[in-house]
Amino acid sequence: MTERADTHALHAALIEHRARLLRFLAARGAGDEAEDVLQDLWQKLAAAPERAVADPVPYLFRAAENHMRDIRRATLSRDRRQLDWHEAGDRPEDAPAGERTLIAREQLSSVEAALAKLGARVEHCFRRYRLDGVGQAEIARELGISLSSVEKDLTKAYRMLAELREKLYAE
Amino acid sequence: MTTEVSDIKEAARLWAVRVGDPAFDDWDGLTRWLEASSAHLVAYEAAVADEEWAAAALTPKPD
Repeated sequence: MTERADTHALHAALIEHRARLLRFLAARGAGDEAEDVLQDLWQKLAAAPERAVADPVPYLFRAAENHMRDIRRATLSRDRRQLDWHEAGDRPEDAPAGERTLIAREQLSSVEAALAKLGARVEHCFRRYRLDGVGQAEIARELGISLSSVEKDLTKAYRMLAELREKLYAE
Repeated sequence: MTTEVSDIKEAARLWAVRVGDPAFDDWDGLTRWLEASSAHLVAYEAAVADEEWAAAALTPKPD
């Protein structure tokens, strides 16, 4: 498939599902600016290099989700910079390089220990899912367990890691 | 923490897990859940930030 055909297919899907996409973006944090955000998103997609898009609609929603994540990250780092202007930072990313490496190593071992505590299967599910990008159906097949078991394992891992993060940052 | 808050956090984590699947396709379901309460978006973004933090911690980048 040519780049042009893909971009055309995406644009056609965007026109057809515009209302759904706008509703998603508004609920996902864009609020009244959903129209502008969709416009920015389209410009980003139209400028992207050639790619094969099997199913344009889920592709557009995925891109919208990722776009909102990018916006949030950019907002957070901007807020952080503004805060730093007033006060010297004491967060990990403000530390000198050597110290940063040390913090990263400590975080790595904390996350590894937390996952290990949940058992080999939960850890395997999390790593395959989150680091290798393998879907739940594939993981279920690999392990010979049900889809709902995989989802439960993943939820368990996410819960434990959220608790760990809260604990580490509270210290 | 009230039960309600922890229920929202738990629901948000489940959405974060589901959205993480390359085959996820219930975007309208996510939209409706987010529309149901402004607390839902806050909890969802926290759940996403938590799992992104953990994944980043497991894949350290040389600086």
